[in-house]
Formats: sequence, C-alpha cells, structure tokens
Amino acid sequence: MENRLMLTRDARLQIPEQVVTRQVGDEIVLLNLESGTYFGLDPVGSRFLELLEAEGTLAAVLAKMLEEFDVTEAQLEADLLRLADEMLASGLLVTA
Amino acid sequence: MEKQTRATLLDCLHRDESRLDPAALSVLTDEGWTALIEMATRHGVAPLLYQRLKAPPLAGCVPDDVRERLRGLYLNTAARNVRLYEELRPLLLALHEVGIPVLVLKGAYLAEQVYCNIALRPMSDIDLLVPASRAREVWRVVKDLGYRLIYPATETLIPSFGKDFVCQKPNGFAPVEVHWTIKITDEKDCMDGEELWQNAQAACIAELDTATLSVEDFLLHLCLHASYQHEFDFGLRALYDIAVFIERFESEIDWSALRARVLHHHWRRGVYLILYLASFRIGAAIPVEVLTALEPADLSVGVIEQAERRLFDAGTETAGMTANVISFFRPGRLGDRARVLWRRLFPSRKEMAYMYPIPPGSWVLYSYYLVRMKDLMRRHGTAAWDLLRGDRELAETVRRRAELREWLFKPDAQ
Repeated sequence: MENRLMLTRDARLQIPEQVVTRQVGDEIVLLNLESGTYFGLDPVGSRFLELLEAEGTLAAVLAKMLEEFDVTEAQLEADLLRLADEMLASGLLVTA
Repeated sequence: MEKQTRATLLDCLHRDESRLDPAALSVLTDEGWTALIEMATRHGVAPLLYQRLKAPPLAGCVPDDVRERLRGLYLNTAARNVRLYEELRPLLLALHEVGIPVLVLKGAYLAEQVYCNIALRPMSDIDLLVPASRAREVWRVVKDLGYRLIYPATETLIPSFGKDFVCQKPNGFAPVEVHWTIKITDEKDCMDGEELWQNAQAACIAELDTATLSVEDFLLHLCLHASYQHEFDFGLRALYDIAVFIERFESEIDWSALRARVLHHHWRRGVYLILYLASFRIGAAIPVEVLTALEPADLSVGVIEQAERRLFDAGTETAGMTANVISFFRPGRLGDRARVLWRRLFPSRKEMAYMYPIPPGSWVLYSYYLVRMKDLMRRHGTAAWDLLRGDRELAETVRRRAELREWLFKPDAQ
C-alpha cells in the first residue's frame, strides 16, 4: 500500500521473481505463483510491460509511449500510474 | 430456452464463422447471455466463445458486461494454464535428466501446439505417457519433486496393476496422471504401446524439446477418450479439440491408416460417432469418404440423438453417474444386476489395494471391504435411492445411457 502512495513517474519498477508472464493471443497474462493473483494486459498494456522491462523507469516508458501513441502526456501519465499502481497492489510489480 | 442457447452456442463455435448471424446475438436478453455463458463454461468452451465474440463483426453485438465476464473466464483459464505449464516444465526436465522417455498427452500439447493460445483450452491435469518398464522409476523421480501418490493407494502396485498412477503436489498444484498404456475401457483394445512409441513425434512443450503421439495416434486418442472412455460426457470441448486438431494437421493426417486401425481394433462405433458429431455440429473438416467408410450399418438417428443428449448433459448431475451405476440400474435380468453389484462391492484384492493403502497380501485388507461399502454409499447413495423410489426422469436417463452404451460396445460387424 505504501508503494501505491509514493508512486511517481521516476519510480523504477520490475517484475518480481515469483511472477510469470505469458503471451495469450494479443494479451499478456501475469501470474503471481505464490498468491495466485493474475492480471491480463491488452496490447497497449502489453507494450507498457515490454518497455518497462527494457527501460526500468516509468519516465522512460512514458517518453517512448508518447512517441508511439496519439495521446496527451498528462493522460498517458495518469493511465500508466494507475496501471502500475494496480499491478503493484496485486504484487505483480515491485519497486526496484 | 435451453434449445435456443444450445443452437446459439453451436453457431458461435462452428468452424464456419459465417454461420452465426450477428442479429441472433442482438436479440439476446440478459438472461439469454447468462445462459449462454453458463453453458459455455459447463462445456469448457467459454474462452473460445470470448475469442469469437470479441472480434468484428460480432463485437458490436456483445454488451460490455458480457464481454468482461467472458474475458474474466478467458484470463482465469490463462492463469491456471500458466501455472500448469510452470509445473510441467520441472517435471519434464527431471525426467529428461534421468533419461526417461516421455510423451505429453492431451491438454498440455493441445493448448500450446494446436490451439496455439493456452488461454483457449481449459485443463485440469497433466497427462504423460512413459514406458511401463520405467514407471516405478518415474514415481521415484516425481516423489523427489514433492508429489504425493493419490492412485494407486499402494505404491508397490506401480506398474503391475492399473494403467496409470495419479499424483499431486500440495497447495493447489494440478494432478499429474502418469500412464504406461492407453487403455480405453475393459471391453476395448488398448492403444498399442510399442506402436505409440515408434510413431511418436518431436514437440516443443513448456519451452522444452520433448515428444507427443503421432498425428494419427493423437487424433485417435482424442476420439477414443471422448467416445468409449467418457461415453460422450466431455461436452463440446471434446468436439472442438477434434475440429481444431484436424484443422491444424489437415495435410498431415493419413486418413487411410487411421481408418485401417479403427477397423482393425473394432473402434468403429465410438470413433464414427464422435467424428460425425464433430463434423456436423462444429464443422470439423473430416473427409466425407472417411465418415462413409466408418459408418456402422446399424447406426440410427436415435443413437446419434442419445450421444448428442449425453454430450449436452456434460457438467450436469446425471452426467456423473458411472458406467457401473448404469449397468446396475438399467432394465435387465436380476442375475446380471447381482453380478454387477457383487463385482462393485467385492473387488479383487489388487483392486482394493489400488483404492486403499493396504498391500494386497495383508489380512487387514478384508476390513476395508466395509470402508468400500461406505464409500459406494456416499458416492452413489443419493442416485440409487432416487432410482429405487422411482424417480422417472433419472430412470429415463439411465435407460437412454444404457441404450447408448449397449450400441457403443456391441461387436462391430466389419
């Protein structure tokens, strides 16, 4: 919960060891093997995860996605923070 | 309502996508959608329904809440299967490490390599085939990985009795069935072990190079499993497995070899009936000449209807009645019934040791016949009581199932 309140665009996030990801159709499923919690990411969410794994910080992901998608920075930042926040709360991401 | 839901679901799943008129979805009420989702779930095809309905032009006819419910079921299947493959991988690695050959059967191969999307094919267990001579060794390997034996209850029976052992790790892991023969039923030939190994094909499963049955053996196994072994109670998923498998390997299937084996082993009735249903209900691409060549001379509309009814009963209470209960309560001679009852109440010592953790030579085993009676009462007591006090609907179900069974296991006229 603490993670959720402190989350900013400078946050460095990663997928914890106990979480596995798998492509299913055009989505990615993340499953926490310890808790059984799972989450499905649509193609945009999947791109977020792919960039996060490569870049590490939300800020870097935000910059890349702004180049790829037709969306305002404020809107995208709010969406990404909300998504990351939800995934942190589910134990599918952790702060590095 | 049930009939309409069934028709809509069949249209949704049909391999010919043009069969479904989007207008049929537009008129569905909340109640209609709920019935459709429930039926799809019962038949293990809810993820397929989601896949079909999220794509244009149908997507526009599906209410958002319905799409979300279906997506939930799709993701749930995906998550369960991700976990299952995470379990399968170390299992295969451990067996490969000690040089035990293994063939991955059914769902674990189908979901990854045939459906090509593990979210589309629900699975409840892992099925592996190993050589009978290595079965005991396999048990030692999986025991070291933390698995506990479920069947047989007596470890020393592996592999001298039965066709498989079933084991499971605690904490929500899927059961693993390790087979050393593909036995269909007591009445029918097994699939030939030697031949299965000779024909096996390489496959990449759970990111590992391993193996599975040949294309023809796999298809035959699907057909025999759904028809003779489960007597059509596997629901639409069984038909869909067959349809997708044929679509995936259309150019590779040697239909004449398959047909020859079916006739040689007297598997004609079951294989024909399941292929017929897959073809006419789901649109599986089965060559007409294969169906014509396999069609039993005494096939009737009634038999097809019984099989179809049974297929649609999948997941309901009456679907769980075992072949023994059917044999006991079907109309017939008292002597036959008494024989069935005796066999069920007093199985052989080896059968008892398979079910209860007592070596077949122990005298203590006799006391377990009382436990056996109690277990039978617990399992079948309610259905038996309902039948004895004259539940007409149940009696009719038993009669129909007995009829289908009788036709299915009647010797083939070649």
